[in-house]
This record gives sequence, C-alpha cells and structure tokens, in this order.
Amino acid sequence: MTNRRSRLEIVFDLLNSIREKGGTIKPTHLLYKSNLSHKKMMEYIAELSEKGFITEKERDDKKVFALTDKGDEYINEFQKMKRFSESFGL
Amino acid sequence: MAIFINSPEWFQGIDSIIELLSLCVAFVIAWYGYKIYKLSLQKKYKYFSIGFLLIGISYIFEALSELAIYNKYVVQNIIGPFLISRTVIEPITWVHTYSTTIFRLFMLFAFMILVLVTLDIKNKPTIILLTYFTILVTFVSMYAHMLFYITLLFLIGHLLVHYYHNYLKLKTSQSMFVAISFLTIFVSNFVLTFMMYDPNIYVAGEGFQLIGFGLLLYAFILVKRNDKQKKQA
Repeated sequence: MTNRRSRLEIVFDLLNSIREKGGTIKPTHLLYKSNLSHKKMMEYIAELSEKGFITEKERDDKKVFALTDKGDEYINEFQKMKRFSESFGL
Repeated sequence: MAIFINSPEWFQGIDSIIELLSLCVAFVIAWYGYKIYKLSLQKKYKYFSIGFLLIGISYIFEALSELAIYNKYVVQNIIGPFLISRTVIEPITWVHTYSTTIFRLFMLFAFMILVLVTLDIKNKPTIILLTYFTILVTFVSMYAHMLFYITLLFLIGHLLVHYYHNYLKLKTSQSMFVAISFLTIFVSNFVLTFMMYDPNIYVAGEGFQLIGFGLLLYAFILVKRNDKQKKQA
C-alpha cells in the first residue's frame, strides 16, 4: 500500500516538475528533480506517455518532455485529493 | 420502553428533511473518500469512506424513526347523534424501536471508525473493546437516552480536538471549516442530549446539525475548487 502511495506521489512530482518548468522539461532536468535513478525514471516516463500525461517533443534539436492537458488535469485532481486528505487530518 | 415525541408539531417532518440533507453531505464525503481509496489503495481512505457512509445510512434510519413516530390519522367516533373526529398521533412502536436502534448503532460505529482512522489507532484489542462498548451503549441507550449522546459526544470530542490541532498546523480555510463543522456537530449533539426536557431544545439541536453539515459541505467545496478558480476569486 505504501509503495502505491509513493508511486502516486512520484507521478505527481514528475508532472509537477514539468509544469513548474513552463510545460516542457529536458530529461536531465527531470532526472535531477525527480530524485530517481535513470532506469526508474524512464519506467515512469514510459507509463506517463502511455497514459497520455506527457509527450516527447523536439526543442532546438533536443528531446524534451511536455505536459499534456490530461497530465495537467491529473495534477489538479491530485492537489484536490491532497487538500482533502490534509483537511480531514488523514 | 418510553418513546418520546420530542418535536413541536410545526417541526414534524422538517427534522426528517434535515436528516436527508445531512445524509447527502455524508454520502458526498464518503464518495470522494472512496475515490481517493481507488487511486491510492490506502486502507485509511476506505475506512474513512465507510465511516461517512454509515453516518449517511444512520440518518436514513433516524428519518424513518421520525416519520414513523409522527404517523397521524383521524379517528371518528359516533356518540349518540354526534360524530366526533379527532387527530391522533400514535407511535408505530416496532418501526420506531428498530430504526432508532439501527440509527444509534450505525452512528456510533461511524464515529468510532472515524476516530480510529484519524487518530491512526490500529491496536486490535482496543478496536475490539471499542466495538463491544459501541454495541453495549446502543442497546443500553434504548433505556437511557442520554447515554447515546454522551458516548457520541465523547467520540466527536476526540475528532474535534484532532481537527483543531490539524487547523493550527495547516492554517488553511478548508481545515478551519472542517474543524468548525465538527464543533457545530458536537454542539448539536450536546443540545440534543437534553431534548426530552423541551421540544424547542430538539429544534435547536436539529438546527445546529443542519449548520454543521452545511459547513462540512462548504469545506468540501473549498477542497474541490481549482487553484485557478481560487486565484480568480
């Protein structure tokens, strides 16, 4: 159960890192911000891409990850759930 | 067993509407708690959801007991040449007894679960002991009405202290409204403890209950509001 919770938080942190960078982020920056190993981060990236939360783009001939509208909605929903949990002291 | 008709006549039926509004709020909170559980798979959200679900269900039975107790009908008697009609309010004893018992059992269980979840009590002997006393209080309170409310106040009091400290820690409007709503629900039950002394006390208690659940709904709306909307406001 704790692992699952951690997963949700990791997903939130990854998506939020992209949002805080204005909607796109370089893989190296995301790796630094996520505090994950490269292998683990790529597993999450694959999952997030598959779910349509992020997409891969090219910027100045370099690969970047971009936050999609669905990913943005997920961040909002996660924040609401976090607020709910905190407000009810859970 | 004594059955008290606590409500003034003008308030009969209104109290059932208050229970229905309260149960709607409880079901909304239960639904959202369950939604979080489905995403996070953390058991505390499941139990939190069950707690509010039980509050909602208990209000169905309370409303039922109130509707049953206020069953009115007209009795006509022919005495000599006269036809005498009179309105009789008669309790349907078995409906009232069963629905009141279920209401009390579910309500005490609901708040017991909320106390266990919010205070993170996982000790099995403690849970078994609390369960035993909850069942005991439910049945004994059928003969000593105050016992139910005193026990409920004890449980809500624990939650109230927890939510007050939670507010001091977070200092958010949502946590403030959650704390105030539980304070109002606490006051409501405190007032209802003395309802057999005056029908107006019952009206006041129900009024506080309506305000309490209204505030709880408002706290939930604040939680659900988008950050973007908050910035625009």
